[in-house]
Amino acid sequence: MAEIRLVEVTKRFGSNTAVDRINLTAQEKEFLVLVGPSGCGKTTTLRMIAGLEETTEGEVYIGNRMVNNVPPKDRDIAMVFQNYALYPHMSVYKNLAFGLKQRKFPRSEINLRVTEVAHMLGIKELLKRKPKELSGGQRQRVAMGRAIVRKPEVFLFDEPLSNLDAKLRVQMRGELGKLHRQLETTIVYVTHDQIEAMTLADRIVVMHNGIIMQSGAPMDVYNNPKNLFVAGFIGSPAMNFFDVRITAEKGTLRVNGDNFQLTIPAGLQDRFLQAKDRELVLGIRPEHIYDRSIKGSFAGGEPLKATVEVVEPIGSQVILLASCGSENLTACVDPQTRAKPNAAIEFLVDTNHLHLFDKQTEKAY
Amino acid sequence: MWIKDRHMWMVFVLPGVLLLVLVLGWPAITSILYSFESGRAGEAGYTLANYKGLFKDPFFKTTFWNTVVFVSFSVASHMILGLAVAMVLHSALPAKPLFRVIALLPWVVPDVVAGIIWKWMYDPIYGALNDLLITIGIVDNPIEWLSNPKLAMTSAILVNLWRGFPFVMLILLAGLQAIPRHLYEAAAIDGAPKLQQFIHITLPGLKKMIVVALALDIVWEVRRFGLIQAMTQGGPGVLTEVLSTYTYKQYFKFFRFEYASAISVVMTIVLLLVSLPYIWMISQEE
Repeated sequence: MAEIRLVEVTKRFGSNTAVDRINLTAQEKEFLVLVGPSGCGKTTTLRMIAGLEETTEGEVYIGNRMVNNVPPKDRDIAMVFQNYALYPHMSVYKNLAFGLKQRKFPRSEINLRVTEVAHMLGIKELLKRKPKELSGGQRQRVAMGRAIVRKPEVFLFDEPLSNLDAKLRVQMRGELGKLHRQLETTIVYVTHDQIEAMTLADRIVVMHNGIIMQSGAPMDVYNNPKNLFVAGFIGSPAMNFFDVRITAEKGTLRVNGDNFQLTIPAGLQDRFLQAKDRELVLGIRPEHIYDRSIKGSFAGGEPLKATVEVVEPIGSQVILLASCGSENLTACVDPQTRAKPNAAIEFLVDTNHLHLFDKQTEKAY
Repeated sequence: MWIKDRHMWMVFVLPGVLLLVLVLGWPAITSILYSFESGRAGEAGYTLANYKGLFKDPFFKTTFWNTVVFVSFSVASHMILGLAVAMVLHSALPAKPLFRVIALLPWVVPDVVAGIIWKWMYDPIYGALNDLLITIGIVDNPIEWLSNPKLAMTSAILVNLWRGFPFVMLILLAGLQAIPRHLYEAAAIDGAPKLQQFIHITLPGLKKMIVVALALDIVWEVRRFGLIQAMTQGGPGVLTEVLSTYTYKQYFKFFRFEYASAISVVMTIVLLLVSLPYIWMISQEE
């Protein structure tokens, strides 16, 4: 078992900075997920941990060892690639055994470990097949098996589920979580899919333009995004943003938008008071907006008038796309809603869950 | 319209087929027929005399073995040099496009031109090669590259190596580029050193390309004519005489059309046998 530590790590490709002085620690046995849009530097970061990419500046530690000049094979890591990278001309058995064979394990030990892993992943019947005779999900399992069979200190996953269809992805996601509990090793996992990040991670690290925007437990990042980018990236459908200003009147704070006014509850007043007189962005998650016409669903909150534009029923809830003055908003409401396109609607906003960001610095208050 | 839509393809294919029949089919069939004629005036009917003659002809035997030597060394050296250059060009090399073009140049030079150029390069009196070797002090006296019986075939093969490797290089370079980079990365993490990566990833990944290059190169080198004709015309004696130059001599110098035709038929059969693995592999694909 080992922890991974990146200290002031920078990677430049020519004049382009892919990763910019990041500091990051994956604790022992932690499932750490690097998440961000494509080009944010997450895969480059992973490849630097693997040793497939040299760092331009900074230090990478695995355990207590600085590994900057250690080749990939000696870092005691295993990596699962996005497109699996199975050796195409070798059988599944040989794919699994290759790493052990290169490390001169005795044949009996190789056989034992391959059988064990094949059993664990349910690919025993496939051992004689070639990769091209396998389905996507089976290939995925073999790729994971190839990593597990070596019993490394650290697992690195590079978007391992992105080539699978939606249903299989959900299934494999569950198995990955189970696998982590079974193996108890440090995992660094890269994905652009925030649902994968939220469900799998002990801790998620949101990256953007080569910089770490926020790291923390998934729900913590979700509930308390530190800046506009994280607020907009984590959560689906994405958070609604409105340009607002704050006014104080007889001791009560109000947010004033283009077409609405909300009173800030007592619990948030102290925090939001500092934002007075600044240009601000108000964030409201779609699930904190309710259809007022549905009886007994939500009491309290503040009203917000809007015009419904699109109604998207997805079964468990209905997503409403509406316009409020010059701004658009998304609301996830109860399926009982009778909202119709082009009709006026009155929402209730749960003001205990308002987020406020500075328009210039994009930081949260 | 009197042609149905689903038969229309025949109309489009017809000109091509006619052209092929005219320039390939007709001469091929004619020479096969020729090879069974005796060639003596007044003798009608078909005979196996030409083929029997071939087996008794000591020159044919020498020529045949010369061809085997010429082709096998040419092809083997093309493969080795081609793969080596392809791997260098595939690696992170500065000014890659420039080197790629340079490596391709020998292939752009026509056969006969290459033969004439090297005939002059090899020339004991005026040749650049001997001049170079003497200037840097490797030899004292000029080497008779093409007229020394011990050196003639080797010299011819060396020129053919220079002229022919770029084709193999090009095919194998394409093959190398098709091998996913991730496989090498996975192998590096699995602990495989470069040599093991070459054995377990590069070679299996290139297998098909190697077979293609082998088959095509063998066929082409067996037919190679201009190079040798321009450089040695089969000499000294018959030491560099190959099937193509021998056929040419029989046909255009001695006007033994029937005998020359028999040689080409034998050549064709041998080539067909050699390219069977290639044909088999292609048919496996589909």
